Amino acid sequence: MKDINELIKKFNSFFQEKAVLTRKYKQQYQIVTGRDELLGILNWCKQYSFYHLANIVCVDWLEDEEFELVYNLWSYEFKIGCLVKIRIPRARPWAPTVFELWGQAQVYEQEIHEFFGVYFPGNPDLSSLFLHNWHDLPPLRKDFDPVEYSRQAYTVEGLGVKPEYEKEDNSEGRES
Amino acid sequence: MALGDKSFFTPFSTLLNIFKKTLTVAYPKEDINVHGRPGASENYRGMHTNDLEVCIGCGTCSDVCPTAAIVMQDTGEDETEIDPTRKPEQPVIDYGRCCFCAFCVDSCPSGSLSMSRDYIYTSPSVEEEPLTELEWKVNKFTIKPDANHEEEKSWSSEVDLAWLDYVRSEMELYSPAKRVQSFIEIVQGFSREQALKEAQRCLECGICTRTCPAHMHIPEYIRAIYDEDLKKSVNIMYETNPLPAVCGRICTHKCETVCALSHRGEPIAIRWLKRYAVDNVKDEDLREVATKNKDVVKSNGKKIGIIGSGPAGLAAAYYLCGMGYKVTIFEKHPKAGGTMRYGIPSYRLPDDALDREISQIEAMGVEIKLNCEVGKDKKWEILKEDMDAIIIATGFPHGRSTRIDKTNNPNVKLAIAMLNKIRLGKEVDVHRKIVVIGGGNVAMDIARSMARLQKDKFGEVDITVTSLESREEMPADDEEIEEGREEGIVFQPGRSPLEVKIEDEEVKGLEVCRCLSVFDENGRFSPKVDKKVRECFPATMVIEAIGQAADYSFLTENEQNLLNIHRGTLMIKDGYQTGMENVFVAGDIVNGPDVIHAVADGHKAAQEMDTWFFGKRELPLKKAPLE
Amino acid sequence: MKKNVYMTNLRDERQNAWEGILNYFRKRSMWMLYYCTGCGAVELPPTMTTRFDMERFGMGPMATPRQADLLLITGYLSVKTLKRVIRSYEQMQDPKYLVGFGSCPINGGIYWDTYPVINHLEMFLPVDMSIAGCMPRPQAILDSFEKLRDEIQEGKAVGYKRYEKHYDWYKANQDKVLNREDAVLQPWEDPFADKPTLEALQAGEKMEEGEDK
Repeated sequence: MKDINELIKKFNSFFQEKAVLTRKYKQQYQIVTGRDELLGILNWCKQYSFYHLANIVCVDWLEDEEFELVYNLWSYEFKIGCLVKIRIPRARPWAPTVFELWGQAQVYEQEIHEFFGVYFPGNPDLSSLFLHNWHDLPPLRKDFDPVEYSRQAYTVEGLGVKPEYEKEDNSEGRES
Repeated sequence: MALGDKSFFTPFSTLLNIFKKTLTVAYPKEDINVHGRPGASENYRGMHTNDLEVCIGCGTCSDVCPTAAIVMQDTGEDETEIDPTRKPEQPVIDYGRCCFCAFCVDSCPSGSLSMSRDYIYTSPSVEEEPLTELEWKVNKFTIKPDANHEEEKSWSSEVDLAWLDYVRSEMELYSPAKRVQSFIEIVQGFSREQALKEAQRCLECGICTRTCPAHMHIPEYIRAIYDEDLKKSVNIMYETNPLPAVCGRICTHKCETVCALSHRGEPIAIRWLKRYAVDNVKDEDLREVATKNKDVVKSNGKKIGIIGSGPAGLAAAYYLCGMGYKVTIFEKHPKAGGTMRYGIPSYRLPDDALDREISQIEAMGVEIKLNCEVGKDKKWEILKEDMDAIIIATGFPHGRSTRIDKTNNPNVKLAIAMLNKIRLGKEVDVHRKIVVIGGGNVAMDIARSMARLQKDKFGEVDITVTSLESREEMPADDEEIEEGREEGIVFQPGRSPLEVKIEDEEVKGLEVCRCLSVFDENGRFSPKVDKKVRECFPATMVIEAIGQAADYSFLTENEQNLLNIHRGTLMIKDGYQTGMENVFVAGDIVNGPDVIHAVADGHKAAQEMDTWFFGKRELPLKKAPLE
Repeated sequence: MKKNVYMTNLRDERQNAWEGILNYFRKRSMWMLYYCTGCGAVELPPTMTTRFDMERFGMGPMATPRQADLLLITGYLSVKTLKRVIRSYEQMQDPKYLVGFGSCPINGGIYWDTYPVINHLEMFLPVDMSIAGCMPRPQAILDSFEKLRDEIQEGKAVGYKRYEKHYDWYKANQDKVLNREDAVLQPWEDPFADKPTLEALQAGEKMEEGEDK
């Protein structure tokens, strides 16, 4: 296949109403679709020259109560990028793993799971990647308040740090 | 023999470099010198320096700081005593936060804050206890910048490079040639785009709020205009001022003279933004916010009479109605508005803007009795019997004469009376050559009104305005003088009138002499004149516009004494109360001629009266959300 | 018997002649370990190399903590790196000195409001020298080293003694941050804690749709 228009035509006739491939910028195309069609579409894309998954992005649409997952693909043959976008509900966010299509997707999904709390069934390792001992809301969610967190977690007032002699006094008091 | 090749001498080849100057900078003995003098570059961003004499404490640096490193520290000065152009606050910078981005310098409106080439600030630990050490160190690195690094000043904000917009958005005016032909309103008002552009210049420092006599919430309503929520904006205005459209046109805008941006550029056009909001808000929205307190408070049965429907009377009536009083205004003219209608020419304040404003106040439940002059149509004694309390807001209805020789000629007139006549639509004498005496806004009003009439009658303008004050000292607004000059009025400031020249009972001119100074060292009025330098302005009509006077003829002499009049204005007790128990005063007769003072007075008199009746109390009024 | 250790100030402890001689040599051969977690690392190369030539003061880089005298914290510390810094510091031999570069170790700097970065280094480790700047230029760094050398000579750079004496306090703070057991603001419950499979999730989805209908 030489012509990108041919590819678009093929895509649109294959998926028909489920998803549409549209041009966004000069070298960027996008496919907006749903969670159920995701694996099929990515599989199709990988077959037709989009071999490279550059990254996976998660966007928090707080007011819509949805997360958006964006799979950033690249075709070396046509020198174009393609965004595959799906929206998932914010309350119970999950999406099928694409780990079997692209091995590197494993860490991307692990990271998204850590920072947004999106679950990827089938991903072999969703343990904590960057954060240390994290028990709070996933920190890149829009409803997480980093200023208040920083104040309570790291400042003198927030940690309730006391001068040493006060502690001594207390322990002595208890002993007697 | 080449030394560079591998040979016995190769290791010694380095000795060739032994007398070369080294590349190393032996700091601290010397420092790099690539900018003409040792040290950092000429516009390095090092430690801050702040010229505390210039700093106005607006807090813009604190707002813009991306690391919340700048805190405004109270200087402990008394707000009422310091210069009104600044707040009693100064920035303190935490170098445990600062990232030296210079946002604060780029956005400093007065240009007092800048950065220096000094950047070294190190400190060892000195405390024993770790927690005290921590606190000590944070304090050690928190510095109130002053002019310490003044000599090493480097990064400072230039007006043309600063982030702030120092230029006003353009206001469209009619050309002088066109506007002098009729009494059409000169200022056309902002369009939506212009208003948004102007509103976004506001820094929200709030210095204006303190200076405004009515303490209007200026930053808040400008923010609402910027958010395109005109209803909210007008709602905020009605908290403190029931005549926003009038003030949006003819206010003396003390707020603009103290605006933070005025130090290095043009101040925000606060007056015109106010006018834009009121003119463009929907009628039903305006009615809703203006009358929001109408039925909130139950009627308390007290009847209040207000004499005069000028700005003070209307403001007092509006707020009293909102507090549950029954208010009646007595107005001797056929329409309400007082000086706003019968003193100020319609090219500055057209009737429809005034009518819209007054209709809101009437909708509040205020009864306005027109053509009813107290003392003539309604006896003062009867009024006093009928009402529980009275507010005198009669203002200054009469002009004052210069009392120079021969002013008793019929062609020597008083400005106030002339303006009244013009606004009432009566026939006015117009001569080809006119001299106006006075340098205030009333003089400008009458001169420019007469210019329009002259243009209409003779096709040309020939008016001379002469005043005691020099051009810089003239109390009139600068734009008034400038616009007058454009319309063809000739200004002859710095001259004292001596006498009116009269031949055969006809005015021939005005004899003046040089005025050296108007005020003495203490700022008191005592003009010094040089009678040798004389001049005569030929004219067939002389108009005196040197001041206004009150009219208390409806009171008995005994009662006038109780008012405690001193040099034309009243000396009141706290609470706007006069010597007579239930008689309050407000407006020009208290604070001199100024519309915003009058509105503020009306509001305060209303509150004081409420306190006098019921003591201090909290009313369940609907307040505009200020945040 | 319990010694009342608060009566004497570590900085004012009198040093004997022998210690004075030791300190003289200590200040002239400092091996430093630089912990380049933050942006300050970029100012070290010019300080160490030809331009400002730190070796004039007998300072040089060292590969392992156990042989180093000077620990440079070049900027912000996240919780995860803090753990490693503490371990490195504790491995170093006495006497040891710690220099905090720039604003971040003092009061949080530009990262004062971020969730993984600590605000005050002094809460976890004793800091001997602080430098203002974001980041400090080589001249400022050299200036601080100059001051530190004076402090060492006078026996006033006593961060390591402070750490020893108030170890419990430092340790408690380290534990509070590193071994946090509860959520700081609100705990998060993973709705997929039982790790359902893809099929189970899809089936659940269909069930819900069916209920809606």
